[in-house]
Amino acid sequence: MDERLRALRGEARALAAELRDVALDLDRDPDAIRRHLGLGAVAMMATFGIPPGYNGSPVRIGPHRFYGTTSLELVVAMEELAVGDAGTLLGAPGPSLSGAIVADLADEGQRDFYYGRLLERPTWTCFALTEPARGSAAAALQTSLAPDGDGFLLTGAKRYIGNGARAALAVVFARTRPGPLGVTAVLLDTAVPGFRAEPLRTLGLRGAQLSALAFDAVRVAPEQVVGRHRPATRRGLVAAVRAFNRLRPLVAATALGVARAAHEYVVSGRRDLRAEERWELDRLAGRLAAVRCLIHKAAATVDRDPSAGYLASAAKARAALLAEEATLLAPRLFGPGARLEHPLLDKLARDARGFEFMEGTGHIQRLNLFNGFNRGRV
Amino acid sequence: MTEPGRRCRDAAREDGPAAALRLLASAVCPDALPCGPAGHAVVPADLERSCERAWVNGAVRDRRREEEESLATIALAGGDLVALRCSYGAPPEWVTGVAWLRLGLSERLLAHCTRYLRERTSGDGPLLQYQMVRGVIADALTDQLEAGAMLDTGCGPVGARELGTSADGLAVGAGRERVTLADGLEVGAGCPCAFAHERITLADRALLRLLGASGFLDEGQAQEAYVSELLADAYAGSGHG
Repeated sequence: MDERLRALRGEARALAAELRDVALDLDRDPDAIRRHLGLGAVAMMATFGIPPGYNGSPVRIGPHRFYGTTSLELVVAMEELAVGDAGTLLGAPGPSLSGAIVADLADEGQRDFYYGRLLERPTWTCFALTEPARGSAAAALQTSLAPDGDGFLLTGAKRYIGNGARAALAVVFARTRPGPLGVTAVLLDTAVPGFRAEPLRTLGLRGAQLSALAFDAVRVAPEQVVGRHRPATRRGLVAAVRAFNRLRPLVAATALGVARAAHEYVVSGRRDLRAEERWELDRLAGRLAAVRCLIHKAAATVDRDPSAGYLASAAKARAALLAEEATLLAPRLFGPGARLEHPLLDKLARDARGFEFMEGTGHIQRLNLFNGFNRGRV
Repeated sequence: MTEPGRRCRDAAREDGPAAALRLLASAVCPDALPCGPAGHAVVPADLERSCERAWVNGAVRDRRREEEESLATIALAGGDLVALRCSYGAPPEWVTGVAWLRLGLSERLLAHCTRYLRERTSGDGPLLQYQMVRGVIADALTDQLEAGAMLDTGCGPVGARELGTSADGLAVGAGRERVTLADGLEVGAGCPCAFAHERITLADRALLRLLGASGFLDEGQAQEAYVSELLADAYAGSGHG
């Protein structure tokens, strides 16, 4: 990690404390984030990912400027912020996941529209791919984009979409014809007739407000089709895969932050550790360090080549498991009733389960890694 | 250490443990017998015969063979290995180098397993087509990637000396028993490298299970995996603080 990234890490670490203060508040009421838009971390995420040329106010730390447009910058910042609170981090307004599609595929008009809205005021966005009946089998999605006059009509449903119920802008994947190349993405302003969204009640990561979306013949103009001037082999699901490759290290870093939060909670809350307890914590610390190394390597790899997502799959699968293990270990070290007596420990254990299915389940990540290995790419 | 470590890994992957141990010894402690925290050495027999000196807590001194005890001889295709107990120590670079070497051996085992699973059939095709098998390979590969990522960032065993800041700022200071990682966490001395060793062992065990009974024979890659575990046992310690 060079001096520039260490500076970013230090800044994010300082901002994380404010997230910890509101963590339980947002766990009770995800909409409470609207009262906390002024928090440094939330303000950072609101525009992190908007590139130079659009963002005139990058994050400034000493002589350095950060736009949050590389995976490596994002994993460094997001790990620290997730130690504060992963739910608030994922529930913050800003480009988030949809930004990866816009950065990759959007034309100038779409970028002007998208970044312009984000820079006007804190704006939530969402990335709508998963459907009620199709999670891992995303290529079989059924939301349709049917021609209608000079435009299209969008019809279907999406589920488990982060920030879906409060997103003003959505990147929605839909099908124009059968087969994997028949999938395309549209950039939607959700304040249109036919769009409905409602939050789902989840066990953890409540701040992220996973939601169910419905599209009832929503009118879509041709200029809202993202990547419309690109060949079919470069947009749609292929673009989604490239976005996942860039996003998986970020999910991994967030999961790592949750694991670290659990570790730090024990270290600061238990002064009288027995030798075998200290050994377990030391072992966990070693694993945290190892997974961090893997995440950084994965992020640097996808920054160089967005199609090289195999390390990202390994990092995401491993970090998600580590988050669950760390947040199960921590309460054990406080004895019976720990999850009742320490609400933050209970929240961390509930939050940790949310990473398994984000950007692909652990099984999918493992199969993806195997495929890369089998092709000699790992 | 990283560059000699990588060469050692490559040698282990291509040529097996004896060749890689000779390479590591020539890079880190030429002509000196390296011993682990409790005084154990696992080295090629020809290297043991030729070393007139031993590395002892930062200094090289003459060996006292009368204070050494031979514990085992393991016959490998690339040359016998011997295990002995001495009263000496090993340079930290040797312990990290052994981690690199074991990673190379684990990768060699992975390559062997993949060939085996492509050729061995069950039901309507090769074992490699089954998702459960692919999942195990992916898990073992991830263990290797974790270990490699840690070694790549320059983590290493720590002892009673200053480390400074490694490539990733992983270790910023050392004491006799505990070290402070760059994010402020304290862990037991030797933990980062011990963790890499642990991941490699887990990967090897998972891969050996894929070989069925052939992974239980005292020959070939199964035997090399056993040697790898002995190297960890002798040099990596328990990872406790």
